Amino acid sequence: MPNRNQKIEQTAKDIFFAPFTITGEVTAGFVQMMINTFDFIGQFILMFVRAMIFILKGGVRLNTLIQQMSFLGADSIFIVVLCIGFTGMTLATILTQQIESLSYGEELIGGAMLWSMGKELAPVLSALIIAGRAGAGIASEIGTMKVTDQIDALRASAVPPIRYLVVPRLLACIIMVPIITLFAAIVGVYAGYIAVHYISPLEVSYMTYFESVKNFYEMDIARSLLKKSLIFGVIIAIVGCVRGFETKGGASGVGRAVTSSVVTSMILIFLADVLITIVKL
Amino acid sequence: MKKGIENNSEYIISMNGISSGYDDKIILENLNFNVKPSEIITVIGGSGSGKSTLLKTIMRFCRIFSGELIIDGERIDHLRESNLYHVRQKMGMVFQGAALFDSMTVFENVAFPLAEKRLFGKKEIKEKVIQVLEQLGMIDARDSFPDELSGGMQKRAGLARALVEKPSIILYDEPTSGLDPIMAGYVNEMIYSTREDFGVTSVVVSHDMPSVFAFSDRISAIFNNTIIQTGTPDEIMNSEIEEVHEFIHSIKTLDN
Repeated sequence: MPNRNQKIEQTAKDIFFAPFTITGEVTAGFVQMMINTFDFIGQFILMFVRAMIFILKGGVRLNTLIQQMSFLGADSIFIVVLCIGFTGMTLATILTQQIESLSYGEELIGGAMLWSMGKELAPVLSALIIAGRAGAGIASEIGTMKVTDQIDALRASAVPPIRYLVVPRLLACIIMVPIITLFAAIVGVYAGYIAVHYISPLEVSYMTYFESVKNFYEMDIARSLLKKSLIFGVIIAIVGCVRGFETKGGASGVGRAVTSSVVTSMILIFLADVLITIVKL
Repeated sequence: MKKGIENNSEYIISMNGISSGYDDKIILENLNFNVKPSEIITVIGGSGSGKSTLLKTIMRFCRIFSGELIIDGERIDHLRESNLYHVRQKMGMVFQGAALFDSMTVFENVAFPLAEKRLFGKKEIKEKVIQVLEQLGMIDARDSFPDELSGGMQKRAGLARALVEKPSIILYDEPTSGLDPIMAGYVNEMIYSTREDFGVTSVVVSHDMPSVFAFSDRISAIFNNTIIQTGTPDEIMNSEIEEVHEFIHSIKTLDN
């Protein structure tokens, strides 16, 4: 048993070395995080390239593609439309509140809704919702297959897992995310009209609202929506697949893969959004 | 030729000085393992000694750090994943947990390797699948999903999937674990008759000692991540190597 003096001496040492210990731990954590990040980037690029090679070689099975399109698209569309509809109504209500206080600008509401929905809200919100639903589904399905040896069973059957699992999911996301986003943007703009016409005291007319939409419409809005949603679709599919293939350690490992897939997708969606907007990709 | 490395020509599987594992972790070290065509060789050893890793190394599911792996005369230890599929077509694997695709019925699971490769028409695939299911007594379960089957039935479905392409090598990872004695006996009988009927080479990882000694042509004992003895059942039974002697006789005592 250490005596009182030894205890005091030890505590003094701990206090003296605490800044160095903490700095060391933070640095080690940061270095590990950087290694993991670079490792993930490498895996992301590799998986995307391999899947694209299979796609270009014609390694797409139509039945599995349709199955995935149904799972990723048809099953996600309701929840996406519902959420974007509510967001459209909220945004339009906030705009009318501002316009009410300024007493002018009624004819700008439709255009503002179109710009914000088409250029930012519909692509980003749809992608986030699909990442939470379909991306998590991809990670959990592949993760479960990994921990139950089903991926090895594919390889043992001489079926490349990337061709069988990644290609249909990637293609389904590339096709369905832009379609859902476009649909969501239209619903968002219409939901805005419902809010400003039926709920807001301004009672903006159909003519005023949609004339504004028409006046503000540019091809660039559609281009931006499709570009962003396409890139977000790739992110959702590949992140889900990479995290699924990385899964280790039974049911808890699958849980970690799902969480990690959603978090990584969200970060990458926001990052890609900033880059696309700033660089005007 | 290095000392201890046998002539490969008579072997369908030849592992010389293999070190393998997962990621950066080495599990098997400097392992030599050779299998003759059409023989049943069983791998025994304690838990965590690397028995399943041995099978996964043969299939090239894990990383090979050094050594030489030759399957049916072709050296494959250096091949990339994309170049391994033609070699894997010669092999089938029955996984410990069967590893059936849970979204597919038994029929679809068994038909999967054939359907994916598109080498046969639908009618031909159906005939082949029904034939193998009938041989294994699984025809009544053809429309069942894996979670509706017992452990033994799942293993049989896994074997059917491995057999449907008529591979020349089948690897069994603890095929009788978790089964009742009757079902275990049935699975062991199946392994034996598969060799008799199809002439396949079988590598079996098993803890079921009475069966191991009954149906194996040779037995390999793996301890501390490497094979320390390979011999006939009699040679293993009378082994003078301490670990092997102890392992065999402790299990015999338990069985008694």
